[in-house]
Amino acid sequence: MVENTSLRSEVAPILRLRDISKKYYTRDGGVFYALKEVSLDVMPGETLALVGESGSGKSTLARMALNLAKPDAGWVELAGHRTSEMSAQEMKPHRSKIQPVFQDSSATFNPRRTVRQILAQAMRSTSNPDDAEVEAKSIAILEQMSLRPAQQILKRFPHELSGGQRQRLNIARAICVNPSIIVADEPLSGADVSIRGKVLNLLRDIQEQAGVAYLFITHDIAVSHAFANRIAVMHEGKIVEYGEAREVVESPKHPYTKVLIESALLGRERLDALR
Amino acid sequence: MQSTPVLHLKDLSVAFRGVRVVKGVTLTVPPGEAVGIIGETGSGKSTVARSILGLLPEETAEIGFSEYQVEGKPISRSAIPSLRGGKIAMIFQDPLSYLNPIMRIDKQIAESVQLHGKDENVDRRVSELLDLVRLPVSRKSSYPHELSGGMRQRVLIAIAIACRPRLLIADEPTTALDVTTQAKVLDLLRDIRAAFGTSLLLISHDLGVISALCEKIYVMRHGEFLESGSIDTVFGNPQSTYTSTLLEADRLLLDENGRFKTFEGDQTW
Repeated sequence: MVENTSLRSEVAPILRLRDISKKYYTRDGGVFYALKEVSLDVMPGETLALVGESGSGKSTLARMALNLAKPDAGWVELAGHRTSEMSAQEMKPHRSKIQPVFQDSSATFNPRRTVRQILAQAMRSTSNPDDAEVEAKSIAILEQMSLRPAQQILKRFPHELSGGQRQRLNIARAICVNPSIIVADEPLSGADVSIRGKVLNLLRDIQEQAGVAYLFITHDIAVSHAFANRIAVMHEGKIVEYGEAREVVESPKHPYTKVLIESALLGRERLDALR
Repeated sequence: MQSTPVLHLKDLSVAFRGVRVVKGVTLTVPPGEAVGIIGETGSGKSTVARSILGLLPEETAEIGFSEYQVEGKPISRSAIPSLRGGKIAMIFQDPLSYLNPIMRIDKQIAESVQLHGKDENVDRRVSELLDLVRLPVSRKSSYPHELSGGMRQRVLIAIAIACRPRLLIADEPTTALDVTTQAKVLDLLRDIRAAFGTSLLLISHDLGVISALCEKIYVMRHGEFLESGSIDTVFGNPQSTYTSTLLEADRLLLDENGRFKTFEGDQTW
């Protein structure tokens, strides 16, 4: 990790998480650490996969990165600004730089707003574009997401879209404010394998065009291997392994990473042998 | 006698309010074997599984088949419910919705033993089952909500095998579980099959899960079986383009432009 930072020393990380801890008190008076001294850097334009199982703390960390929750200790820096110490009001001018894409695409939209209103609200929340600008940008983004015909889609309500279309609208809403980093929390869960490749291709296209970085949260180490530049493995609130994606998957060092890879490979040795 | 299939279902069709979701499929499960049905969301695989035990809503589902045999004996439509538990049992993706939230799990397992079993020592059988599914004795009086997802699935498996069924149908049994837990549940299913000769019909969208457990497979899409055969034949030398694309998508293969391979011309997403 030290080498990584020195290698990229000319470029500052877009997101820095330092020594973040979050604790909860259990019913019997004990202390439970959801996160314990977690540190991560996301570089501009890169994909960092945060891999872990349910309860590992990865979604809690995502909320801290987005300043939707405060750490008990440690800090978050977004493009050089200490966002973890900001109030919601102070966060406002920085909000457009970091955007979420959550897992449940149906729960993140106001059901009584049309696609047009959803995108317009997102754009107006961070700047003051006029109606013509909003309309032009909405159409351009829907086209980019292959949500066609864009004019028709703009009139729809979220429930009138398919699951895959809603997921793309989720991504559209995130990128319409030109963020520097997107925190994507399990964007593929619930997607069939035939859809998975399409979502990944789309995310990669956006990254190439807009230079956006991804903090890609997933339980799937195979997807991380194929999609991310670097991987951080989380287990019981701690980062147990952190490095280049290929290195982590092909020569894991921590026993938990080994178990995770072994479990994910189940049945696949047989498939590979048939190749 | 050895080769008499535990389940043979011919020309199964299912329609919901006139919409055909299963279009004449024929399914055979040989004794003691593990057979998989692989397919994506909406392919009709769960509908096939539920039809076998007559679990589809009678008011809306129209079910038709030309032959239904269990261990060589023809089964009439009205006899299907009597197969449940003793001959064929089933486990599901979300065990929590199949467990009684206000009943301790050992009582729920006991209920199943009493309901279907003969004159057994119920307590002894419950302990035996808990042991079989490797549920710690200390958890036997827990309520479902006090258990982890993996433990709940073990409880459901204990209930399913309580009456020593000849066939266990597992519909996405590990989809909601973490990969490390998934591996343990699959091990358990494999051990049950080895110990009791129980046949297994595994429904999944996950090629890895199917390959880990099954010898034979049916590939399902849009209500039809596109191909079937041994895993080695179907996945080693797929006949339908759908199967080959499924294999490529699963491996996250890249094309010459460095993009993930996806289904050509599929506009449905």
